[in-house]
Amino acid sequence: MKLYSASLLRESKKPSCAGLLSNPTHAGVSSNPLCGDRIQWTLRIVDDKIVDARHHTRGCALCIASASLLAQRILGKRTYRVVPWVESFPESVSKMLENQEDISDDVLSIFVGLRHAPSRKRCVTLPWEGLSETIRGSKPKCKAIPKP
Amino acid sequence: MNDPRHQIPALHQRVHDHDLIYFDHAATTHMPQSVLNSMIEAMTVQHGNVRRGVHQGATLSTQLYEQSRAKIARFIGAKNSEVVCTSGTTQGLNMVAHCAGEGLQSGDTVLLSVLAHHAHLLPWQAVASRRGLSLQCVPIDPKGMLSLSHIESYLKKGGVKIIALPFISNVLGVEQPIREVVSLAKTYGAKVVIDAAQAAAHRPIDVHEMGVDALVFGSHKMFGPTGAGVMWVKEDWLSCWAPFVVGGGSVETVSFEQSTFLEPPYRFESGTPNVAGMVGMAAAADWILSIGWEKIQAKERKLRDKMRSALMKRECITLMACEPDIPLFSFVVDNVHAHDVGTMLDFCGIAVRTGQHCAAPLHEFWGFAATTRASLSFLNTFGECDTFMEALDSIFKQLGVSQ
Repeated sequence: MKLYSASLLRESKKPSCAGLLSNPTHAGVSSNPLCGDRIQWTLRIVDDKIVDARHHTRGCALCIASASLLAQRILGKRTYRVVPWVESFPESVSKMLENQEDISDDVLSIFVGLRHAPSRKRCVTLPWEGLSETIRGSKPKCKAIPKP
Repeated sequence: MNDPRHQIPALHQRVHDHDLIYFDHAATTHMPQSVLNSMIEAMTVQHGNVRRGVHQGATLSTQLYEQSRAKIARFIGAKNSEVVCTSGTTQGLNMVAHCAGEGLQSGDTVLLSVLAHHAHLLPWQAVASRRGLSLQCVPIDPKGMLSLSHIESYLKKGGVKIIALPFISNVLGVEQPIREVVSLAKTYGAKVVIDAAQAAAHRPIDVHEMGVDALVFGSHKMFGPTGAGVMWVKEDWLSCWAPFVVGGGSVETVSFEQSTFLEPPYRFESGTPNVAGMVGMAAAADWILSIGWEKIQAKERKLRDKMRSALMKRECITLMACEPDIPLFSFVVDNVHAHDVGTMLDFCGIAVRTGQHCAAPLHEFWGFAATTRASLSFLNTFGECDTFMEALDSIFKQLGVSQ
């Protein structure tokens, strides 16, 4: 139930899929101006399949871990499956905060400690908010992607 | 007198199985029992609508409300007629910008600073956009002090009608050279508007001695309730202003075609005011004065020095301002986001604020995405400072941050 569990800290210190693709088919940004957190997404989608995904996340441990887990989970998946899952995630987090039941979902379970700090919910959902829009976009939103 | 800490019920609670250590006074303060009692009385025994009834409750309520205005006026060395009751600093600053802005012409300049809280910046942005004003930003030096030379050079260029500044920055805790700014402004015929939200609980305020033209602050950062505050404006300026919000309570005569308005301050107080809030604010001012500024400031200097010394010893910590005038420290920890520091401190029962503290331009100016802010008051103890530093050290250890 600890928020800053060893697995969360591990994920945030060495996030998977960190960086930016040089030749993305899709790119986008999600940010929270209130705290300065910002996630840049670059994706390669070929024939509706996400063949590569990279994120550059400037944010807290929760935000980085969340972006890392999300990137890992979407690799190799079809977008028609990914988008509904990504879009339903914030509601899944809300439900997790509302009840005390055990969590079976492996992504959600790492954030179960949010029950002690519900004000941090957006830190976890921020990477997800921008991803579905990035997938829906047909062209990279920023032509020149600044280096991290 | 009893220890003031013992008079504040909210300070004595457990948070995440720890005794609460409250280091978030710059966000809001807790009310002493005397403030709570005054508000309960205002909402029970003496409850009626002010300046609107002939019955006893309305009469008593009106007396209480006007006594509160008078107390707050004395608290800042002002006349009662110059003190307009508001819902807080944000409303007060919006009123000043709107009402003063009506008297400005397209092309006139308003000088703001990079220290501006959003409540100070946004109202002027709105007025500038509506009336074609030029907003200019005064920078600060590395200590967080406003650059007087920049202010003077803007004044020399001409066209500066208003200089709007904070008395004490809510991010840096640095007291600004208001008297020097006033002296420059008078030379060039500009008015000075002060956001005193962060100063009201730390410094005695005498508006006439300061020489400013308008000063705004709220109740909840000076041990009073939320939803109450004061806009003070010098009589000759205030009397030129049209009302900000119109309605019952502010009018002298009303016909279907037109209306005339009362003299200040009532011209600016349409609608039923927050009577209990103003009564609580006045009681908070009384409480502060009963403790005494000398005692408050002496304790806060010691707390500031102790915290500063402890924070400066940790190499992983960078302070936004190294020499604050009040015990307020905004800082970053190497490779750790402020929200993580804040949440981990909360798990230790310590309340701080994290983020940009409604001052995005200042964070951008110094290149910090977000900071942790520990803001103390004279109510805090030296033991709490030690516990805070121990908690920080344990967080650094958990996160693998080298000190």
